[in-house]
Order: sequence, then C-alpha cells, then structure tokens
Amino acid sequence: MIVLAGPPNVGKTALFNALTGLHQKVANYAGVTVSSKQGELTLPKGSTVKIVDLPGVYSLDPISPEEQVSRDFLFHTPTEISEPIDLVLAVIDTTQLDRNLSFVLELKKTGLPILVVLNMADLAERAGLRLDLPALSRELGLQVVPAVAVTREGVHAVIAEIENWVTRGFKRTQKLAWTASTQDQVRERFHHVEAMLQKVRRPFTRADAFTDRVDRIVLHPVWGTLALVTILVALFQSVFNLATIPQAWIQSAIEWLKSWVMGALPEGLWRGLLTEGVIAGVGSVLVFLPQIMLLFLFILALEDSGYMARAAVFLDRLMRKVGLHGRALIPLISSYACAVPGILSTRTIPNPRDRLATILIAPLTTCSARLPVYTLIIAAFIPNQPVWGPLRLQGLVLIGLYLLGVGFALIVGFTLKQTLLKGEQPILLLELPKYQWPHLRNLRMGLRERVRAFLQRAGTVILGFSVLLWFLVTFPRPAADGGRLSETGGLVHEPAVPAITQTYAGRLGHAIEPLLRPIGFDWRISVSLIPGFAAREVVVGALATVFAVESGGARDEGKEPARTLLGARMREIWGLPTALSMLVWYVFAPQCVSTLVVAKRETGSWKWTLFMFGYLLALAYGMAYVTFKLATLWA
Amino acid sequence: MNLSELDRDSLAHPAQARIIAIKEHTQFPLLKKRLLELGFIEGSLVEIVQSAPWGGDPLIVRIRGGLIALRRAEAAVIEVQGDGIGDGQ
Repeated sequence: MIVLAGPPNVGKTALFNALTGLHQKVANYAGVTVSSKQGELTLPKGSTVKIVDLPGVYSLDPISPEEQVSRDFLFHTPTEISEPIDLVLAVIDTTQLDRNLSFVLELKKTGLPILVVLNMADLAERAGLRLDLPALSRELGLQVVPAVAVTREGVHAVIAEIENWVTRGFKRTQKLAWTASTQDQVRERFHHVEAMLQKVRRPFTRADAFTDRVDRIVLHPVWGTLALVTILVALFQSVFNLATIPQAWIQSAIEWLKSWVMGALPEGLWRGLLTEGVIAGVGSVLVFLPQIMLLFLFILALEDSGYMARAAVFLDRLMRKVGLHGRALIPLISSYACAVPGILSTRTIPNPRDRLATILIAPLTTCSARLPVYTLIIAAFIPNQPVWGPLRLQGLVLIGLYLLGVGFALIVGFTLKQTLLKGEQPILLLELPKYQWPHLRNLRMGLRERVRAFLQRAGTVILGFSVLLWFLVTFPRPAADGGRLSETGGLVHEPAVPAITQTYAGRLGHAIEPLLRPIGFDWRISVSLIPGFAAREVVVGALATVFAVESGGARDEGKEPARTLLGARMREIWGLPTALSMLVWYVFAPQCVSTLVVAKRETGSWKWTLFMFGYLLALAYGMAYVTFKLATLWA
Repeated sequence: MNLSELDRDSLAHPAQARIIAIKEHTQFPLLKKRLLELGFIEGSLVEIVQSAPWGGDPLIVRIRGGLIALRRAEAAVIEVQGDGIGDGQ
C-alpha cells in the first residue's frame, strides 16, 4: 500500500486522481480532504498497487480531527488497516519548500520509506526557482521526483519511480516509532531546512505580486464588498435568467416523451403511472438540472480560484462577533452545495465545541436541493418585473431567502455560543493559497460528479417516491361517477367530493392537514412533505404527481409546458400567503435524512442530532406561521 | 512589541519585523507549537502584507514565502522587533 501524505493544499488529491483515475474533490484551499480515500494504480508493467490519499497536515502532531485521521493512518492506530504501508509519497508544494520541507524531515524521523514528490514544479519554475535536485536528494537522504499533478503528463516521473520501488521490492528499514516533536525539534528542523536550501537553491524573488495585488482588492472595505456582492448577484440572477434556455430544451424533451407515451399506450392505469407518476414526478425535478449546474459551476470556480480562504478572512469580523471559529465559514459556504460535505469539512475545526456549533447551523445555509423548490414557487407566484438595471424581482426574492438562512445561521450560532456551547473566543489560523485561474479540467470533473449524483437521485429516490405517491393518489379507485375519468377535454367536471380526496394519499394528507393548516399548507403540500424528508427536491416531484393526477394529467398535454402548468395549477389553488409560507418553511425545515445521518455520525450524539432536528422544525413552523399570518393580513 | 501592534503604515515597505519570541497562548496551549510548525521561528522575518477591512483583524502575514491569516489575538503571542528591514533570512 502506498500512502500520500503532506501539508494541506499541496495537490495530494490531484496527484491521487492522476494516479488512480478516480475523481475525488480537489480545490484551492486547505482542508478539502477530511477523510482517507483509497484507489488503485495500474503500473506500466501491469502490476497494481493500492493508493491511499490522506488529509493534509502541517505536522504529525494533530490539533484537529482531520489531522488525527492522517496521523492514525500512518501509525496504524485503527485496526481496520490490515496492509502494511510500503511507501509514503511525501507530497509538497515546490513553491513552498521553506515551510513544507520541515514536514518531510519530521516524516523521515519515523522510519517510514519515503519518496518525496515536488508538486507544482511548473509554478515554481515560472516563479524563477532553480533547484539542484540531486543535491536536494543528497541533503535530505531521500529520493526526490518533480511532478505537475494537475496534468496527466506531469505524473509520468512519479509512476516510473513507483514502478522502480515495486520492482526492487518494498522493504521496511526499521520499526515505526513516533513521538511528538518537542518545540526545540521543530525549531531545529526549520534551521536545517534553511541551511539545506542555501545549498540547493539559487536565490530567487518569490513574492507573488499577482496574489498580493488581488488581495488588496478583495480585502478592501469597498472593493471587497463590491466583489462579494457582485459574485452573489451574478449567481442568483443567472440561475433565473441564463438557465431558462436549457430548461426549455429539457422541458420540450419531456413533453415529447409524454406525448409519445400518450400515443403509444391506451388510456388506463399503465399510461397514468407513466405520465402522471414517472414523467410528471421525475421530469419536474430534472427541469432544474441547468440551475443546479450553474450553482455548482459558481461554487467550483470560487473554490478553485483561491477566493474561499479570502472570503473567510473578509467575513472573519462577523464570525468573531458571533463567536464562531475562523474556519467555520468554509464549511458553511460548502453547505450551499450540500450540508453533508459541509458538515464533514468541520473536521478542520480543532475545538469540539466550536465544531459542534458549526455542524448545528450548517443546515441553515441554503443547499442546492432547495433550489428546485424555491424556483418552482417563485416562478409561479412572484412576477419577474425589472427592479433596477439588470436586477429582477424573482432573483431578488431568491437572494432574500438565502440571506434569511444566513441571518438565522448567525443568530442561532451566536445564541448557542452564549448558552449551551459557551467557551473562550476561538482562533483563526488559516493558510491563504495562491490565486489561480480555475482549471477547466477540475470544473468539468467536479460538475460531472455533481450531475451524476443528481441524475442518480432522480433515477432512484425521486423515481421511487413519485411512483409510490402515484399509487397513493390513485388508489383506491373511485366509483366511476364520471368525475376525473371523463373525456370531456377542457375543465374537469368536479364531483361533489373530488375523487382524489378518497385515495390513500388524500386521506393521509387530510389527516395531517389540521397540523399544518395554521401555516397555510393544504392536504396536497402535507402529503408531499412526507416523501420530501428523503430529500428536499423530492417534494417538487411529489407535488407534480399530485397535481397531475388531480387534473387528470393527460388532458392538458401539448397546451402548456408541464412546469408552467404545475405553476398555474398551484396559483389556482393556493394564495400568495401559502406560497410565501412554504418558501420560508424550506429555509428552515430539517427535511433531509442524509444531513441528520451525517450529523449523528460526526457529533457522535443522538442528543445533539435530535436537538438540531427539533430546533430547525420549530423555527420552520414558527417562521412559516408568522409569514402566513402577516401575508394574509397584508393581502 | 508583538506582531499585532506592528502597524503596517508606521514602517517602511515592506513592513517586516524579526520574530524574537513566541509566547504561550493562555486559552489555546497548542497554538505555540502550531505557530512554530508553520515556520514562525525565532529569528525569522515576518511581513505584514494586508489586514482585513473594518478594524484590521485578521492580519495576513508572509512567513517563509507563505501567506497566513491570523486574528490579532493570536498575533499577540508573537514578539517581534521592528528592525529587521532589509536583512536576508
């Protein structure tokens, strides 16, 4: 087994991906990898070796949970690692030798077999670094190989070296021993590095003028704020305005499929299942794929550019006022994609109490699964009138919902730190990466992974629940009183008691409705909320199925695209207060099983998981109630 | 003088100082060792590159060619001498 170890943000995961052909997440900030990842490398001569990627560490003496992962893995503390470590690739950033080599020296002391990989060799060369590699290797007493992990060609030398090691046969030189270095040993290592570099490196100017210049802008009170606001506004406006074109394509494809099924199958249960259950349910969620891709593209570009760490610095004053750890902002920003990786990345926070506070508020940052719910309702109920310049009302309402989440994340965080999680003022110690243009390859890879995950969910969870819900809204079948089964074309002739209210879903919805009536939810929303616990966007598919069955789906075919139709049906039945209440509900509601599961795993506590669920539910109900009442008064 | 008191504007550019000692942080005992591991070693030059808007906290400093952001409360444990201008490391 070969293990990749090194300081944070030196490109270990990029190297891992290049060696194994896998697609683990890479980005330009410290702390992207928080757990060990395994893969396999097939060598040119045909043999394979197992490769393990570890979270970055500044030293083998951990101060946070994710650093603990690396130390434990290298020194076999957990029993699940059966294979011995044959070789450690000590990956470092060639432009940061002055600090990174200290880690190599610490690692060397443990007696592990080491091959030093000088990553980002291209950047170092461009910065004017001239390095005497044989001399460096001699000084270190270790083999050294340069690499450019972000391109496939850049890892040939590393693979060739690994092949050499395998051919020679791995052997352990001495038993592993590790004790925490003393402070004097740390000092000594740095002095050693200084002396070494004087021999192997020609003096060069290394101040990164570009990074300094960009920092002067993005950390400026006025320009920095302007930059942040511009990024956010561009994101939300493009979600509504740019995404509409590809959305229309997906919409017509779905419509085409639907009319094809309508033509190919005779009227009956099968046709109903396919058009009202599968196509209406899954299709209504698939339509949001372009919006979700845009959101991810923005987040990936921000992560890859190096801006994330600056955002943490820029907003640190806010974090400090709230009492959160300086690093908390990065997990919170990650949660805009999804709270699950967001909660995992809190492992970079050393203090357990600060980490817990961050986990508890992570679900308040608006994840991408809420986007379909928000945009469906906003598109149906909020007119898209221009407000000022390129700003339109729908985009502004969307920003408002995101800000509502942020505001409450800060309020809840502050309250927790004042009461249950009281503690001293946490610290901030954050390395700032160099800026770089986002790599197209990283963006493409990241986006492909996200799209795959989204489609997989549409094909499994959303499909499953749509079919299930279709059964529940279809059976038991009503007596043929000529109501919804009639073929009269235009408006459905409604019997005194609509048939759908007698189905299982109708009865279930009506049973729950009294609980949710105070916040303006009718039985349709009530019944759709239940599968919505599996994942938030499922509720869109569920509503689509309920409405499709209720309106006899088939009849409206061809007149209007399904989404507008769904919106139009919603507008007919619900008032604006219900729509606003539902938007607010989704800002807070803990409607995601995966988040609760990962919160339980990371906190190790049912008590805190239930606390999270409880406070979110209470906030959702309370805020939706207030919204509904105010909107009803105002309307 | 400690690093948090080193006012960028009162010094010639680049605003450098030499580290003379790292003190213990009262609430977070691991901080001293971590600062050493990041390269804040006695005798090294540290440069204040930038400070965050609204109150200048956190600070961004350059140490051994790398950029580190830290809050002023943490910077206060780093004792410096503002006479290191122009010296090589």
